[in-house]
Amino acid sequence: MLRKTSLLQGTLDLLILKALVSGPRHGLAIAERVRQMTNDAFQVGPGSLFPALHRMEEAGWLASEWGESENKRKAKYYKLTKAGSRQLNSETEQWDRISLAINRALKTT
Amino acid sequence: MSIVNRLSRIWRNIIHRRQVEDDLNAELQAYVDLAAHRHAASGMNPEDALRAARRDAGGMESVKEAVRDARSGSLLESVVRDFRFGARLLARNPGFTTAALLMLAVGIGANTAIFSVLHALVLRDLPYSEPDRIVVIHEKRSLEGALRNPVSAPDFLDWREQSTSFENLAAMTNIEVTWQSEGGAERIPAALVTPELLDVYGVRPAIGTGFRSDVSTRPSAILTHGFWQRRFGADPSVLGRSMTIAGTSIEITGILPPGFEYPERDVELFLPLTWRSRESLDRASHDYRVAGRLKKGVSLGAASAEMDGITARLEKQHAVSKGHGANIVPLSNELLGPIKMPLFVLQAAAALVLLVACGSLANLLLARMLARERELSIRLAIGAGRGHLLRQLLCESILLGLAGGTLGVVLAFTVVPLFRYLAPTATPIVGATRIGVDSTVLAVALALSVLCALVFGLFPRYVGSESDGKRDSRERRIVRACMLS
Repeated sequence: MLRKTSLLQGTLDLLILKALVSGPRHGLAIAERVRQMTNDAFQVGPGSLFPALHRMEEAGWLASEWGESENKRKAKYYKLTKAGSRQLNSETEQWDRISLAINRALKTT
Repeated sequence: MSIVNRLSRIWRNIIHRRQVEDDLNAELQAYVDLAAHRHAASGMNPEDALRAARRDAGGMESVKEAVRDARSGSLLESVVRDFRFGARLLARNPGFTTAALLMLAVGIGANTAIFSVLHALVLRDLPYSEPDRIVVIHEKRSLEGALRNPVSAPDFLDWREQSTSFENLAAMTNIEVTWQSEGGAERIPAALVTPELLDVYGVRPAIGTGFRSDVSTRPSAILTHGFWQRRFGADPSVLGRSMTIAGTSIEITGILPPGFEYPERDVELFLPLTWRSRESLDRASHDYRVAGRLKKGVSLGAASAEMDGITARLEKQHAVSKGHGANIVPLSNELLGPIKMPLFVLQAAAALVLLVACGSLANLLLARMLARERELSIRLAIGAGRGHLLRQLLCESILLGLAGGTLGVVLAFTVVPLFRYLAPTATPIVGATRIGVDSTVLAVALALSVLCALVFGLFPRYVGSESDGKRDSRERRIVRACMLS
């Protein structure tokens, strides 16, 4: 089992939070949305997705609920909580700061 | 996440573990179904869709493992699970488990039992006040090679008068007296002691005042605690009453505290030792034992030097004292000298026995590990981490160690009272009544059990980590794969 660096884990969290801005989704749909948003750059497998989802739910950023899915079966839907919204904002800010700093560092000769 | 939240999360994850697991299973199953549905919907034929779905489902076990690891309390839950698994495994191999438990029980039990004796007698301070200042003074006859002769009354009195190294000096002797009780006349063991004896030992009567100051004209008696409990029903009103000892009516003026066992354990009461006229005493009659308390700051060497000077003077003055000197021995040496070394040796022997037992256990465990290679390699294949596997094996060892240790302690509990009973009452093995499996001994037993568990649990790992280099046999490879984390 590959251990994710903290940077990658933070990035995944950020993407998942963003994917849920438009409304609640179940696991597969979240992975699908992340793939869509990043133009196929990030394909999140279940081995990374579900631990992240459960961890974020325990942190209080997501809330889960069982609902009916497109194949008429039950699936677990995740939605953004208020705390999750705030987390999304702060992580976005942080990401901006970090990427700015790294870009600047890479540009210096 | 706040502490409360985290704790409630952990609570939920552990207590409602089954629901949480069922929930996760359902969620992942739904994921697979949806994936299959989407494959089919995107134009894949049903067979490929099914195959793709199965491929997704194949990784589900490791996904579940990853989710479990990410959960709060997962470590605690995991460890608890490891212990349960270990317990089940031990139960399923009754032969091995019984053998292992027996070995451990005997090994740890023996060590615990001997340690309880060592602890009560040797490792703790003697039960007196500032025991390192209490000494016993024997008469030394260098010409005859005798070092522990009893002392005569005139010598004692001269020593007491002339020495300055001691806070007090006391003399005593054992006698048997006739006590006229309600039940008739009986002989009871008593000690005749000079009144300073209690001060030498730093003991105050628990009830009463001790010997009276006019003890030479009106003798009084001090009862030992045990005697008072057994024969007087622990009745405090006996103070002031009289006992008929050797035909004389003697007032009871004190009861000693429990646990004061001197000079011997079976002494029932203390009577005052006094001499009427000094001139009538016979210097050649050596009847008494002498004990003293060194003054603060006076070393044994200094006291010995002073006593040598005194005895040399006495030698010159009295022909009968020729060749007599004084031998000052610290009380702990006097009481424990002969038993210290044997006890330590016994403890070392028991420790060796335990070490050997652990060695054989380690071998047994290693053999079992080889028998389990199939199970272990399967578990490695489906994604169990090596560290996790090692932790599980360690849990098993700890369970074994603790169970064996508990049995050993039970064994010790049955044997140790026997030691206490067997300690001879004639020789002053002070502290013998303290021999028991108390909290210190139990703590040592616990530490020993855990230590053993670590030794025989980790030993296979150590063995596995040494590789041949040249030719790795199949067994070695499996063992190494399982043991190295």
